Amino acid sequence: MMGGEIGKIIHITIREAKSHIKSIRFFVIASLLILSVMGGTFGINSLVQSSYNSSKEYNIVCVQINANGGLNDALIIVYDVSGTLVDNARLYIDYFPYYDSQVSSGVFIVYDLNYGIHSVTVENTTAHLSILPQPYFNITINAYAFDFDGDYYLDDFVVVITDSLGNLLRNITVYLDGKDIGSTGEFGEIVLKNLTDGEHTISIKYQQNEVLKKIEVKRAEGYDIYTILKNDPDNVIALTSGFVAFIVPISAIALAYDSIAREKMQNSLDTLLSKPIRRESIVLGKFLGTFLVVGIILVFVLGISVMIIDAASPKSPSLPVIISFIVGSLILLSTYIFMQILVSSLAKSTSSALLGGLGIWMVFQLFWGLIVLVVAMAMGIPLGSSDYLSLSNRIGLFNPSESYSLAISSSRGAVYGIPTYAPFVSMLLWLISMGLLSLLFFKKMVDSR
Amino acid sequence: MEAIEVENLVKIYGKKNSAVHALKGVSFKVREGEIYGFLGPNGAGKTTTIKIIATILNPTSGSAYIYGKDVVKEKKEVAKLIGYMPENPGFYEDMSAIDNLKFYAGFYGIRGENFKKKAAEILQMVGLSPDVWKRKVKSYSHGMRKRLALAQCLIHDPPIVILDEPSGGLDPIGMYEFRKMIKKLKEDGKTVFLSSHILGEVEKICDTVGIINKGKIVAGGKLEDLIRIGGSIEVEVCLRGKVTIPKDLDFQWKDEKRGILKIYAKDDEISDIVRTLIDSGNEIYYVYPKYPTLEEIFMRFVGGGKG
Repeated sequence: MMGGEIGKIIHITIREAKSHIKSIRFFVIASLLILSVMGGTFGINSLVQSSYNSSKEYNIVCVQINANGGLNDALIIVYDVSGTLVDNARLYIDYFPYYDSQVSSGVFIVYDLNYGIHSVTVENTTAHLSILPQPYFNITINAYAFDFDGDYYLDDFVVVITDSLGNLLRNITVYLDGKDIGSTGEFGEIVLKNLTDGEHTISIKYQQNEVLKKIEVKRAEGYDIYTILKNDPDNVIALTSGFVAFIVPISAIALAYDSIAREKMQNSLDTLLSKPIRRESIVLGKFLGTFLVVGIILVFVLGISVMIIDAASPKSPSLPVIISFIVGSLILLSTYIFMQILVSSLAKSTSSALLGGLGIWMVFQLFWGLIVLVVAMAMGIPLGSSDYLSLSNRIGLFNPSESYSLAISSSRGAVYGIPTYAPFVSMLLWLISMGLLSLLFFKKMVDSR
Repeated sequence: MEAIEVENLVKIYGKKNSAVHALKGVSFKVREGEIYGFLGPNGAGKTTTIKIIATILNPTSGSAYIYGKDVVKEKKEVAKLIGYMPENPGFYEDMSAIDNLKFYAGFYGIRGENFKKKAAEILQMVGLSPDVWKRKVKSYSHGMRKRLALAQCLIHDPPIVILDEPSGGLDPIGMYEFRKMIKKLKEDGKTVFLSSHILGEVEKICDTVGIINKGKIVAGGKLEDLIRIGGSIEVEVCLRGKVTIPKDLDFQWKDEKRGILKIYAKDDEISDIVRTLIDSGNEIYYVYPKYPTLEEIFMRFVGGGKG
């Protein structure tokens, strides 16, 4: 493009940006953007921090057992951070006090619970207890991973052994990888500490049957979500990107919805078109005007967000994830601005342009799960299955917001059911196609009015 | 030299089943330095033609040239040669008049002191006083908007000015002042192409007229030529003394007692009719050809119907 034309694009960009900066909606959008992304980052970090800290206060084992003839009782064992049983813990089941049910130091038996999921709370720590109609079909080794030694890894285990009727099996010899490590206690429990990385087998011999359970210790990951988050800032970024995927399209729609429609309504479009400027430059100038004002705030907010996450974690977020987070957010913003310019070109009024934009956003953001569900049902894929996850990820590539989330996940490792590069390609295709379509429809609209 | 040359312009809106043929082969020429009045009823195709000339719309077929430059293939060059004032001028409402003007001037590279000088000159020429220049356009009246629209179309000093209904919606004083401004543009050597509904206004300022109806040019040329092309003129002839009517003369009595006849004839037939009457022995007291007004010509060509 010639130098003069670039000057004209900048000319339109400056007018568009100035117009945004002067408007009240820009301040509303900028505030929302800052509040939601920063708030989201702080919120997730605080949640991770407090949950991790509170999970460090008490470690709770919840096992469905048969204590009085029915299989609807529970054994609750409360350990402190170092794995010592807590005496006189204030236990709440579904927020009702059950202090009196302590049968031994740190051990509670709760009787006659309803079927379903119950919350088990000790001070700030909450665990969940499932009471199911028929939980066991055989002798069961229940294993619970904790971080008793404070090394940030879930390499300590509490094992509780029950029979098929839910009775606690006491004084049973337990083997770890074939080695005798002792017998179960009064409540069928045994504690294993500081297991090494990799797969381990816990086994027992009972009435001439051998029962095995395999457990795995992954030092990089773990089994508790808060511990994962505490040790995985990339995951916190991935969670924060959910706020970005929600608010960025709204920002683009709110600022770009009248980019063309207002020109049409206030009759300034004809005057603009009679000036020596290419149609492409008008669209590009309008795009850049919105992109710059939102993009600058977005980069600033995301930068701060990454810094907060980095400061809150013992590890630093990885560079590919940071780059995907920031560049992906800007591509998402660009895609939605072009999409809104396209809608604005087609709309006859500013209000219909806004409604059109919000409609598309609702489909991509709010109803997408429903669309995936309908497709899965039509294909006979059960909800929650691995095929469902694969389908959901594949369909997600047809949605710019989903592609963005998948791209950030992909930057951390393979995403189930799709190649790692697919979300990145999808995002770029969305951007290019929206850019071209907005230009095409603008030109078409101009020539048909 | 032709400032504007339009050849067989066709513009079709919509798709096959719902296609609207807005222009069906429009052709005309506008000479450099003249004021060309483009007339037609609502929906006749005036604004579509103007938008094509002003590079806003592309024709379906046909071509238009501004000083020999194609309005489709050489849009940017053409846009520099013209100033366009739309029928309902719109501006960026959140900006002042001077900022709007600055924005449009920017496309021609007019900036800084050069802009300040030109803007002051043009805004004063169109009758906008300096105290309203920094006011936001949303507070402007219709008349002020029209004046600002004229200013934006003149800011780069184009040789051709295209005005779509320039005096539409103006009060009589505003219309008078606009006419004066348009005449001034001609004096400054500019070619003015304007469309208007106000035929009296066109009659007063235009050198040449084109009439469009239902997407076709139905008449065009100098006003006096239109009269000739347009058909018969009503000629009133008053005879004195004994009246002898020639056999072949097609006439009506307007006042038989006073010897006043009404004859419909073409402009170039009047002298022959007068000679025939004299040769028949009549004494002619007066001959009064009643030339049609532009409005009558317009009604004759468009048949009084809407486009």
